[in-house]
Amino acid sequence: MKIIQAKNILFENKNSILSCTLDGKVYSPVHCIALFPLSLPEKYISVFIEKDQEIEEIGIINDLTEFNEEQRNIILKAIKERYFVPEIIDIKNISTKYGGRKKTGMCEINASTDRGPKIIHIFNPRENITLNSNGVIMITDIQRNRYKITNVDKLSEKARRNLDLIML
Amino acid sequence: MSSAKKNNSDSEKKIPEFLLEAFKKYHPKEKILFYAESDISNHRKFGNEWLVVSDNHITVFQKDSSSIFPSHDIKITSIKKAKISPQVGSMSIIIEPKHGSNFKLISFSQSLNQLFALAVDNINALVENLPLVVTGGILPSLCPSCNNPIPPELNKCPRCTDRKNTLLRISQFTRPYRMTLVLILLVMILSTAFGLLTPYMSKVFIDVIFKKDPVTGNFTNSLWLGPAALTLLFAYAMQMFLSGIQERLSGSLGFRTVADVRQKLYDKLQELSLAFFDKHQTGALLSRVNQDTQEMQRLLVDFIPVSIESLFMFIGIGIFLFILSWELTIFILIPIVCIVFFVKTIIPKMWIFFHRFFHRRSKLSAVVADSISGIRVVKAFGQESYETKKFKKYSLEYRDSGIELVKKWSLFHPLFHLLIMSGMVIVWYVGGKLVFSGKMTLGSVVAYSGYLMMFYRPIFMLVRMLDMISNALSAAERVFDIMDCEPLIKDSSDAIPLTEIEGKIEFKNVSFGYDKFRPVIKNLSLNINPNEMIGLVGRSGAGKSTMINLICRLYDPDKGEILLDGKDLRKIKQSDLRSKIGIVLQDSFLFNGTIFENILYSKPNATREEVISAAIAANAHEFIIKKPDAYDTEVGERGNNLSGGEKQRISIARAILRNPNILILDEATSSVDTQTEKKIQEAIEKLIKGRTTIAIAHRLSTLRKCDRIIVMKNGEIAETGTHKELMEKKGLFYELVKIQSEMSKIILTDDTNNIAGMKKAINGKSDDYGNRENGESNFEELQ
Repeated sequence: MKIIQAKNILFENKNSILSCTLDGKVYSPVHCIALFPLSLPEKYISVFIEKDQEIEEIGIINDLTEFNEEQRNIILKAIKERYFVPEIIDIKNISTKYGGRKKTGMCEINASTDRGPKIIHIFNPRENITLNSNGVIMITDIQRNRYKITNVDKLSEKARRNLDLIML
Repeated sequence: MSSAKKNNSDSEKKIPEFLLEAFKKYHPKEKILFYAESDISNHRKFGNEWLVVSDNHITVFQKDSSSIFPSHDIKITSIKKAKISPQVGSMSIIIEPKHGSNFKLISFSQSLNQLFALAVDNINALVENLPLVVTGGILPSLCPSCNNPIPPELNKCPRCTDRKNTLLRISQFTRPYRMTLVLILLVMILSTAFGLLTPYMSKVFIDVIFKKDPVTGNFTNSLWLGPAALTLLFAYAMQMFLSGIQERLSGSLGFRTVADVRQKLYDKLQELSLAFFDKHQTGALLSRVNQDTQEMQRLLVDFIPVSIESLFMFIGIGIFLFILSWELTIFILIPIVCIVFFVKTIIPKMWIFFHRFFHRRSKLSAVVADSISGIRVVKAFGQESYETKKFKKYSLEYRDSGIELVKKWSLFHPLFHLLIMSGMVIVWYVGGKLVFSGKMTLGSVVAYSGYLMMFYRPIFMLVRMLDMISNALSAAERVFDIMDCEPLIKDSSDAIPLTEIEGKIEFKNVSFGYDKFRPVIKNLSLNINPNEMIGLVGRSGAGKSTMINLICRLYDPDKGEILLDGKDLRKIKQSDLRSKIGIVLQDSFLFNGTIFENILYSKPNATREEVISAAIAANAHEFIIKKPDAYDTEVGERGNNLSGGEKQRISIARAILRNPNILILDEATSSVDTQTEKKIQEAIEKLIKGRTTIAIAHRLSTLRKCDRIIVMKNGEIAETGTHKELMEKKGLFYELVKIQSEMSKIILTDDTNNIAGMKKAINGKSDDYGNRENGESNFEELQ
């Protein structure tokens, strides 16, 4: 495992193409992914290039806090670029068209996410809303788009109550 | 391009005005061929961007609060090709220009991938000067009732399923049992009538039989006591008897109907193509067959009969209450309204605590099951205290949820009963006043209180049943959703039967991807001659197994065609095609049953002699006869009672018994030891004689006997030739052999060192472990 030190690498984003210079060598275009996107989204970032559909890893960044703000923002943007799993920050309402308990059937979540407001349609929440072992709630909508709630305690009391109704 | 040009005016008509205006600003003279709307903005937020393509330009527009402007505007002649790059949760169109680096054109979510795949096909068609796949707006079809996009894979709006239709469909399944249904209704009406008679009898007792003559002071109607008591007994008896009959009838109706539904669902599952199973988790499908049909059964056996019965009761008792005293009934409405409110709004809040309690209970049992079944691992890693801590955490959570439930229940439950009893208080207070004023008799008040107690049940049941029925209908919808799926692979109406075949297979410009936007096989052409043995080689994901899936017609190619003896696979009856193919997979799946039954699976009408001969040919007979129950040995769930090599040989025996013209070996000898591999190789050599054979092999040395080796890379043929030719060529195959030989050397060295170390530790001295059978593999041998 090759650990990249912040002082040895410089990221640049020109015309939406990310490149980096590591130990004097320029890599372009490079991509960044979080190795633990759910449990440690800002640590252990793999930096790699793609060649003929194969991934060639340049190295791993241990912690984004080692970087200055400008560099950190470039890396975070690159991660966001690849990883589109909106974080639900509030649930305004959960409704079902037909009444009845909401854990089965189709339900509609009116949510605020870090990528903007979204009406999420979930079929059979019992199967499509899961709590994984590191406490993150993953929601999969009818078109297989995924959403996450990293820390359920940060949701409002009302949002949590709504979520309880369909999750439990 | 000509076909596209025909639709120019149409496409421009469909394009929104603001977009047309924006495009014309930059390219006033160009005609728009097609456009698509994305659902992710340039800032990776939910929002829109628009891809507009004319005969000369590809333009992407984005919008801010005041204006619409292009983020990309490129000439079609400047690009080499467009492709879709899948990321996590979203995708992008990547443009490969003739000069310079690739760049991202537009991003979109999973919901739009099929549409943008069409857009990419279109762009590439323009680049190559081919006819367009589609013109105009490449937009999702919208549901006419809710205006939301309809997911292409569902073909119908999942948000707008009409529940009346679902009920109608369920009732269609009860059609063969119409007489039973009529009987159930009849019995219900009679049972309700007898039920309604019983409280009325208390009025008869009090107001008639126990009434003294005001003049003589005697009970003048005392003779009626016996017959009245008998009438009451009869009413009770009839009510019980009829409810027994009703239970029996609706029970049998439910079981029969749901057995029919389950059978139909299972038949459909067997009929559906493999692509359907790729998109649905096994667990979810199992739950469709077991739990959802069970829920439908409860709907027919419990919910609907109880609801109908409650409705009869509600109407019947309501009439009696009004007859006995309409004034009192108005007062009674006050607690009834409160009870309905309580059942509808307060009780559902209680369900959260019940569900939380059940949920934590099941989590705790899962933790216990996990740790007990994995006790060897726990002990081996000395993690007992970790497991104990984990158990304690879940156990405390379960305890707390139980305490929370009891606390809430102890608050709501007495309140609910108080509401019910307050109705009784009103009856005695208001009823008492009516008795004093002579508007009601004492008997009527007693009868009234009896009816009132009966009245709560149907109210409670009707309110609860609405939820229950709604849930069961959701389950029914999920079942019907599967029943409505159409298999992607179907016999065409002009499918021809296949009798004898030579076994010539041709791939003609075949392209295929499990997701349309991600081709796994790319424009592949290949001829396989009858009785030829072909080895398929390549890294994982190169497309080897996909080629096999296509030959077996588990999927149809997206482009091009596959021919068997010159006939397109799509024109051949599926059952005939599969009867000509025998397959030995890496993961030999055995069904729960005996060894004999498992071999017989490929040819159910085979004789015992044929099965034994197949087992002998597969080198399986010798291990089978060592088992105490020989061919009657139970293989266990998924064949768990047998070793990997044993399962593999049974799987080969299965293929031998089928006597196929085309034989497919998908890494048939991987994950077995060398001794077993030798036996399996021997069996395979017997098997391949006189058949077209396609072998995917992990161990490249096993391919030396192939007539031809096809080396696959990224869905294309990278090299072709015999083992010798390819080794001499020193290309990709040579590299793969080299890597494998080095890997086996490393593993060998590591294993030998480990074993030597272990021996040293055990014996206290160094020991040469000697020659291992597995250690024979080296580069020279592989060559």
